[in-house]
Amino acid sequence: MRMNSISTLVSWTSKMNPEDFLSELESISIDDLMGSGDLIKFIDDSLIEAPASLIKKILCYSNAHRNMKTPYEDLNDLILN
Amino acid sequence: MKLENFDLKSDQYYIERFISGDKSGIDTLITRHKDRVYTYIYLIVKNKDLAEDIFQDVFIKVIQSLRAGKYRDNGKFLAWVFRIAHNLIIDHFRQEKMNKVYSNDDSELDLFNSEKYSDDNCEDVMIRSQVHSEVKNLVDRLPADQKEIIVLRHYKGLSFKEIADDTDVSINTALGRMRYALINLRKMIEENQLNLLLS
Repeated sequence: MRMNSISTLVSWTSKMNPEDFLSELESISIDDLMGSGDLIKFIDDSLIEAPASLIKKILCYSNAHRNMKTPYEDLNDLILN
Repeated sequence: MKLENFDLKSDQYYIERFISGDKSGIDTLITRHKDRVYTYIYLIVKNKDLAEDIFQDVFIKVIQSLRAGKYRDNGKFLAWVFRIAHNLIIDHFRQEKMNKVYSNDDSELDLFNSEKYSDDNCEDVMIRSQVHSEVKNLVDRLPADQKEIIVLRHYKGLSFKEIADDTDVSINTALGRMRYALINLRKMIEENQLNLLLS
């Protein structure tokens, strides 16, 4: 039943009702799926390699990180302008 | 077979190394789990750029949480990372629903194609991180009603109409609070002689 939800989400297209999609997404328990091993098996069956450039950026962030990352740019612009 | 496949040390071993200051700890954890996490996100959001944005946010949150001591080992590091990924995906679609924009397939117009990190170098990231921290500190010092409106408007993306409805005040009151919030923030910047320019 739960893996059916994942399958539904994966096969979802933009022409389908987005509210149904969100409800389906919210109904999923990652802990249950991970506990059963179903999610990992499902993912491994269609594994995609993450872009290497992404990893560099995250490590770069890690080195530079001091505090929480929040989207302050817009507010910052508003304060200054 | 890749070298990391022979690494039998637990995730917790690398978490502890990272927390104790060894940067290679997070490197190993990301390398070990990146493909599965990325694949999960991509399969759900079906958009390469969006998947990359969420993927980055996931591991940034992981880094922040580990450093803040918010992760408690129960031998389920990957499940924890997946839960973060899943929640960020939900957040995205909730935001999308709120904005009434539904399409994000690769094959269609991508309104969520964020390139916010694409040209960043380490210095950019560091400056942004510092500025974020300083602005956050300023917002935290605002009176509660002004802080609330900043959070709702800028971080949750609500319209003034939605803010007025949610906080049970008139739109004019919401606008007034925003105005005072900005005045106070500018004042604090002047008083503290802060430089918040993102070059």
